[in-house]
Amino acid sequence: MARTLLRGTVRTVPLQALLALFALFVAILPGRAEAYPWMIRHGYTNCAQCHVDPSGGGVLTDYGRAQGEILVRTQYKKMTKEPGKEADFLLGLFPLPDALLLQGDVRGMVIPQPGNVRAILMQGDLRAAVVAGPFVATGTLGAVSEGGQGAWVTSNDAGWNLVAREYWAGIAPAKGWMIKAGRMNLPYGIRTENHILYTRSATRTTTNDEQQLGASVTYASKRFRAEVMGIAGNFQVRPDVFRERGYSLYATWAPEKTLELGVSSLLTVAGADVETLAPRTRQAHGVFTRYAPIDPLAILAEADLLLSDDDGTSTSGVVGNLVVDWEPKQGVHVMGIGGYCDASFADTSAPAYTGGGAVQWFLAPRVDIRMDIFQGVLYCTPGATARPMGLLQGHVYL
Amino acid sequence: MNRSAPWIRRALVAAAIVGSAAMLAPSLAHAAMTVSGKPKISFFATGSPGFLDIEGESSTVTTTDDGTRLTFVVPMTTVSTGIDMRDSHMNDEYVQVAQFPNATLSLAKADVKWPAALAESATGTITGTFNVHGIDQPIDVTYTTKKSKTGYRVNAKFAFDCSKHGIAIPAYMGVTVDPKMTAEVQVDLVDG
Repeated sequence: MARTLLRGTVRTVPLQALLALFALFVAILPGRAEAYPWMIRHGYTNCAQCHVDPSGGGVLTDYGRAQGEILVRTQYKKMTKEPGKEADFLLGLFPLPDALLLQGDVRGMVIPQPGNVRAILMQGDLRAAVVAGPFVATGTLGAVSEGGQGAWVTSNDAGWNLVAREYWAGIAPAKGWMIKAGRMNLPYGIRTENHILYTRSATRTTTNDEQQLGASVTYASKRFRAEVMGIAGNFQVRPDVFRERGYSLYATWAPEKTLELGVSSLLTVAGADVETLAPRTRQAHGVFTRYAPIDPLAILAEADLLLSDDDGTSTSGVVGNLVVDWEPKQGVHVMGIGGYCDASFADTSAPAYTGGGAVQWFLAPRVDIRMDIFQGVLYCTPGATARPMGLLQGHVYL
Repeated sequence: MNRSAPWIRRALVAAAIVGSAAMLAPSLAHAAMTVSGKPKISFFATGSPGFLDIEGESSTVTTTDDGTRLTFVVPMTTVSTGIDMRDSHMNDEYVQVAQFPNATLSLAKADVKWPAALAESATGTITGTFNVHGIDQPIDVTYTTKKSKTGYRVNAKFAFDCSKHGIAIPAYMGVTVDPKMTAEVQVDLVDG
């Protein structure tokens, strides 16, 4: 709520003109690639083969786009030849220079509440990256029909907004290293597109709109990867008093190619929190794992300690998520998802929990659909009444 | 004395023959070794960027044994990396299995320590010959042999450079595989 109120003075561009331009663009160029942490079941403990960002998510590399065909989507007959133009940007309609990667994503969601069926465009992003030798630069521009306030570049409280989730430049000075600066996803926990996981929302480390401006150093070796970021704040939130500054990091160790163990830590300080409006020091420290004990199964688990100092009042809490992802047929994911969040032990309200299942099907080149059904509370809101919920999502990227 | 001398000589000769036979028994006992149970052959490679772990596995291995050299033979088409398309690349473009169907590891049996007592283990490092893509290269093999009820459990590991075997450095869509690879053999051997 407060985030929305803060944006009243931000609008600097004729919104309708931008939206008209963008709608035309998006109609041609849907897209967004995501971090799929269950890829560990194929031995992918690192993310750098498939993503320009070595910590995962964002623009796909050519290799990542090819794996989208080879490994991710359902094959209806044995694949006997290389992915063709269906793996290329815009289905290979026109060739791109080697150094340029383009991608578009459209992700929509339907919330079928009785008497209140809502359709939301969660993502309509164009992503671009330039990779020239050791230099990398990437950025996104998109539109959302609601939500995503943290990434707004316009400020239409009642409807559509342009969003810029990421824009950063980096250099890889040596094998396994990358130094980045710009607005980027916070390096914390399991990076996933599922931003309603309590561990992502309660730590404010979603890839939806909680990127921050800053600088980071990433390192990856065969068994170890880590990123540490100095946070300068979200400069798409105004005024400056609301910007969080601090650090965020993760480090992982993969004793096997199908097992990764990680730790995360985050500390930020803001003159006024976007939710409480009070000065706030916010901390999260946690552990996580990705594990594929047998071939079609991946287990993703994370638990975090939440610490907060709100204008002299200290609180502590915990948050955790468990996702069991079973892929009985390539491209078909059947998931069990559980979550628990008690943001403040001092709060006597009942902790938030969620439990349910989801089916995600990568049914065609660049297309996936997902249905979630669960019982509980959508976000980490202790005291909120648990209720049955369902979500339908469709995602296309080109 | 004169009558007993031939008897003593015969006894000594017999004892020498028996003794020699007993000394030779461990090597003669596994003069022709074959594979039993479920062997595991693994090839390990790393792709960059991102240090991608690539493991190719096979459970198909046979041996040839001429009494002096023990050779493990793995049909490369049985090696699976878990991704069909990657296997196709490996077999068709790089290993060229149509021309060079097998990878082989050859060891001099006399160089290997074969423990005599049940459950006894021996370890060592010897020089063997690894052949893939039709080209022999000497390699250092670190091994462990353990005497079992039926034969020996053998674990062996070695590093090789696929470029020295004339195999092009594998690359796909910007991911390049380090030509320096390793292989592991876990196998139960019995007397054939």
